[in-house]
Amino acid sequence: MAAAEGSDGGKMIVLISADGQRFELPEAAAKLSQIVLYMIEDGCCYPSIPLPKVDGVILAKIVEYCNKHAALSSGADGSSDAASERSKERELKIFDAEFIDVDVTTLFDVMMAANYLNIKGLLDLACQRTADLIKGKSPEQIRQTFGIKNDFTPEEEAAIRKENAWAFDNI
Amino acid sequence: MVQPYEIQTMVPVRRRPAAAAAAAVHPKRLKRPAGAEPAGLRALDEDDGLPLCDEILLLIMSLVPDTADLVRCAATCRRCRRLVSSDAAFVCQGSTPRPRSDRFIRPLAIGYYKMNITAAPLEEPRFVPLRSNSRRRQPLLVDLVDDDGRQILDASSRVVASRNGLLVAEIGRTKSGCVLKLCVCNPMSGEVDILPHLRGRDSPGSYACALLTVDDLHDLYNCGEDTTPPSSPSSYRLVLIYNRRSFTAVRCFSSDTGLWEPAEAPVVGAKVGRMRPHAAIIHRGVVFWPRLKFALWWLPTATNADVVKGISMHASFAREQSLLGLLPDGRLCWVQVVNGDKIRVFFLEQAAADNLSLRVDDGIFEGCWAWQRTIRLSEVMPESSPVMAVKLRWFYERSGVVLFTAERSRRFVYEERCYTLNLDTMEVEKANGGEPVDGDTDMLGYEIDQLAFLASLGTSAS
Repeated sequence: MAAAEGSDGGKMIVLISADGQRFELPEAAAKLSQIVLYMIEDGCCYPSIPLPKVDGVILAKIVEYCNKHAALSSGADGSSDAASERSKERELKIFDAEFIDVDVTTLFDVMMAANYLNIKGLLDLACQRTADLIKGKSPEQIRQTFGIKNDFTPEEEAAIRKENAWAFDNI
Repeated sequence: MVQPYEIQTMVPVRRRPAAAAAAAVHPKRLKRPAGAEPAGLRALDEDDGLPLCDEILLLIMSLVPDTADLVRCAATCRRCRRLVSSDAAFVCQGSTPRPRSDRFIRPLAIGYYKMNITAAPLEEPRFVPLRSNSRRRQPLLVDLVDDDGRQILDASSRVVASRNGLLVAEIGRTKSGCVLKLCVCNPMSGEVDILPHLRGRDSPGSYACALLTVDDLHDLYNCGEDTTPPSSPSSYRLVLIYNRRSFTAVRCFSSDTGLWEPAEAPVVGAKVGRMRPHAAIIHRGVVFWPRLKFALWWLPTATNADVVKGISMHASFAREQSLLGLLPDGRLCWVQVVNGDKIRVFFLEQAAADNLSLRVDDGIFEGCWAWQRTIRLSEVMPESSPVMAVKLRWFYERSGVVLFTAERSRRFVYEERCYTLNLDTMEVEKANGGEPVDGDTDMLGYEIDQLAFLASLGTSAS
């Protein structure tokens, strides 16, 4: 079957989420995922690529990320002078910051999907956001933030705190 | 970094051709297989309810910037503790090297190596833990063996420097002293580098040395003195100073090249009087030996190997009964014994903590020493008999701990015992349950590095 053509003449790839939603995105954007890239290279991306591990809501976020990054990082429009590069970089930074400012459940889902689809930039972004959320928090606050169950025995927890009292000051 | 003045020298420096460089054999690196996983850290016992897999968690941990944050992270659940401790190498060195903590990390100071300098026959250096009931694995020197299982450090060996988890030891010492055999080892990991021997004209005689570990090398790179960053987390550089007939000379060894600099560099501007091994303080490429009243203003590098600027330091820091330490937050701390039974602690507050300044003309530290605390030992030490002689032994810079010995009489018998002073709380504790110390004992403190520290989080509570 012939590949679908996008409005700008590039090939379009169709991704199907676990709950059956269809997402159409330019090949350049889809290729940000190493997994999808391999499938495109192997020619097994038509008519569509099913992604049974990714929910529609999350896949929509991921498609949004890939579209933005592919659009801004392609120098195909010929305007690749230093000033426009910088402004693109700035725009991507702002986009990333807004994109990843989500609740922890979504953050985890995006992280797991980015890991599964092997989108390095997105995985790093989500991990960095999580690391930033850990900073300056007590173990109890970290557990609350991320919904971690405390599986230490009281003795184990007391021992860690006692031996590393310095790390628990002013927290 | 812009140097404050130009160095003009008329001393011609003759360089030997590289081919004749001191027995250019790459150092031998020996490694003991890593120990078994500590008992009690099994994935089976974990129930944290986190949907993320181990790989993602590790990636997150490698991005957590501060060591204290990592410790608190390890204290949230068993899986986090297991990952931080068992994959400490990845967590420490992820994508960028973890910055050192600017607070004291008390558990880094785990003990000291003691050497009896007058014992006959000679005794090998022995590790003594600060806490006698510590469950931590001890960095025993008998564990350092070569490929054939032979012990590398024996009774003829001496530990000469210790910094950030690494030790420098002189091995195979002979009376004639015409060959200097040094090794650099990490007794926690079992890694040993045997450095190319310095013999004949290259042999330094009496010397002092300073070990720059990976954090110091990153500092050098960040302030522009080095053109390349250290190639691995276990990189180091060893700086040796020794006296020639009319000048003091420097020679460096770099683990990245595996070689000594081809030629020694003469020091201009200052000279060491009596060369003896003493602890060095290292700050952004300035290496100073307070008790030798001597500092190296910069180190020989590949591009600048000819001449090294040295300065004489103010004599007051050179007193036998004082110790100087550079704290993680950039303050200098000066600990001094007064009247034989009091310890005074001074701090030099820095407006800009990362800009320690030495006044070049007379080697005095800029700034105002703030007298912080006087500790009257007879009041804080648990025994009641009067304190006689106090000797300051080691400044654990990253842990904020000072090791000292105090002699006191007990029913007319003089006993010297070991104590620690905690600079955070100013509390004095017995070290190793107050183990008695023999008269002529040398002590070198040992602090583990960040990697060994994170790895130890797993064993501490199991």
